[in-house]
Amino acid sequence: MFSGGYMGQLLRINLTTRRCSIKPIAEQKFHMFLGARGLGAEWYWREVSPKVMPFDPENKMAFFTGPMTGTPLVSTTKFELTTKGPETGHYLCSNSSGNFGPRLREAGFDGLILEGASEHWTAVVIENENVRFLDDEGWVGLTPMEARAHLIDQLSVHPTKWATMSIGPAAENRVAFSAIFVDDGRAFGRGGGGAVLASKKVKAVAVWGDKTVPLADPAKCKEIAQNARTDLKTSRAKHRLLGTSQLVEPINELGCMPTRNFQTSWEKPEVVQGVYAQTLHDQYHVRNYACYRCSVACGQVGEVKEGPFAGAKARPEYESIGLLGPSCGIYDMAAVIATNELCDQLGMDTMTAGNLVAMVMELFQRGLVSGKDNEGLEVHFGDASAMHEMLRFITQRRGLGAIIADGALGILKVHPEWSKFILQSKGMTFAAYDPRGFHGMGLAYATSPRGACHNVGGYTVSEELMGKKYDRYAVEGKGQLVKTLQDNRAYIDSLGLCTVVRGAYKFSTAPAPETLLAITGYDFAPELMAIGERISNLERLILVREGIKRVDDALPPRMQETVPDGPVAGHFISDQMFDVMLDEYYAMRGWDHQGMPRPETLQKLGLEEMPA
Amino acid sequence: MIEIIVKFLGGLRQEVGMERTTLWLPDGATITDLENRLSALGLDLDSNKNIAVLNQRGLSQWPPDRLLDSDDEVIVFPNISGGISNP
Repeated sequence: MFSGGYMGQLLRINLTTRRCSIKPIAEQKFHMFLGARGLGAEWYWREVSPKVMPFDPENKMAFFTGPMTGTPLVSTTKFELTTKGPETGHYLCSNSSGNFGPRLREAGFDGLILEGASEHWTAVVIENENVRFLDDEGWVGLTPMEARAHLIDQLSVHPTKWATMSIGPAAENRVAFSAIFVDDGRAFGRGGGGAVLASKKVKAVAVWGDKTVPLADPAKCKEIAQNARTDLKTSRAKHRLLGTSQLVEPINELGCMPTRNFQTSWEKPEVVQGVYAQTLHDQYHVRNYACYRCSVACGQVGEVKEGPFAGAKARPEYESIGLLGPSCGIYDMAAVIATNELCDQLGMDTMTAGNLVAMVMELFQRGLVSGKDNEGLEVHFGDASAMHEMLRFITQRRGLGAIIADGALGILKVHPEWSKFILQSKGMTFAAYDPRGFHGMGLAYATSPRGACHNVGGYTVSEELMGKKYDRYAVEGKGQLVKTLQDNRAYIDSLGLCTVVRGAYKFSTAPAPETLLAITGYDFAPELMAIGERISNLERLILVREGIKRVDDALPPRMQETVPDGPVAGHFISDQMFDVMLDEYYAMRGWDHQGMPRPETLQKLGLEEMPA
Repeated sequence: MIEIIVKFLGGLRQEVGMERTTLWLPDGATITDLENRLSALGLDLDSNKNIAVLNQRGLSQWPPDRLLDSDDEVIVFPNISGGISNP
């Protein structure tokens, strides 16, 4: 029995019939899956058929919170999107910060389901238990921020308290990597959730409520929050100062920076310096951006004051800098800020956008395409203006953009011969770490349930540098490492907490009990890693049901090419090396040779009733 | 004497107040000696808040008695994300 941490209700909105229902969530589900990502996977297993296509009205979208979401602790901002995504054509989980998750809880709900499809373009407004629709064909063509502003303008009560989700033109045109923006600065970036929302003709969602999340021990929660703030003031001081962009310098120095579409993994520091965190801070930083109840405020808002990109304003994170910058041969922070801003306005994922424009640049470099294929537009490495035009082409499905808009899998259907230029696993493009420099990242990308992802898949870089038993270029030991990181991350993604601050609450592989005990009244700590493992296995069951097999847990051909220069020159990941890692990973997971969870594994995790 | 150049990256640069420094260690100095000198600079390496790398491998991944060489390169930067031991 929980004495706090959950609202206990699920709001379901059928967009076709415009009927809503509110139903209780069985407490056993919280015990087994904790919240957010875990609840989303459990829901997806029951409600999203393997036969349904991403843009079918039968596809559904779930937004689940975790037990920490919206509580008065620090950085309790996260909530999770679960749906069938167009970028991979499979299960998609994606988390976002912002105020929407906390506000959804204040409206009285742990989760929101959107099903069916609206006949007209609309915005959904949730005010406590009341739901209404604002139909308006004028929604079409607005950027995510314009849609948010337009929506809030129409809401007369407490306008500053509304939290929103909104999409842009890329989503309307079903770009496979379009995002859902949350409030004015965060997003469900990866996997194409924006296009799914657009397929339901929902341009925006707003939520507001006047309830509070119940706490088992409010006084203890207050004490924990104060301790977390004190801890973060020192432990995350550098994160506040420079944000994730401070990874640019070390990742390049370590030779795993994607450079010119991963043709190499390093560039001279005096060149890369143009996109260092210090450059962002010294020349462009105007303020920090904080998510809900976050004392770290790691977002670094940069504004270009002069030059060809004057006026551009964005908050580039490391992944965006790496993939819109060096991977496209661009070492000018002003250009990166401008490109990031354009992606935000079009409403697309900066990471896949960077990857696929880099691919186009390499095709031009090799003479495999020409301006004739692209309405006269040539897109070469280092040309930010051409890159911007290419992003508009993608959104409008013009020139090569007509193919690129369908993402990596869509491109490969038309041009399978381009596979060596597309850095992807299961259709999702790489994050900004070249696995040839840290082989564990290769296994993480290949086995991540949503396709190549450094978060869900497991961020191995730190352990591959600090763990005494690991060697960054070795394949042995990486199976155990990746499994542990994935299970750790699966429970953290289910808490409703930002991963940046998890150390302040001691949410490690041996988690401390006090935080969840104070919130829920239940000691989850001894079970958290098992819950993470249960979520990982359920996600695998989902993927297997959707047709994923061992052959899909793979890396693209470029990983077999040796890195030509820089600190990791000569390194590569051969099929044989990868198989050693994958075999070990499957063995550690208790999966068979094809990657199917064994019956005894499912029994151990209480999932024996799950297989279809 | 062995001359080791240590580069500080990311936010660590502000924390230590310099971009790089040179350490002089006696002939026969080892990884353990280097760790002690870095700690003496005020760098927190034990709690995994920072990552020290020697010649592209984590400092802690080298045998503690490995002898240092003047060609060795050291970089130190904040542990920005992830990891099992430093959540």
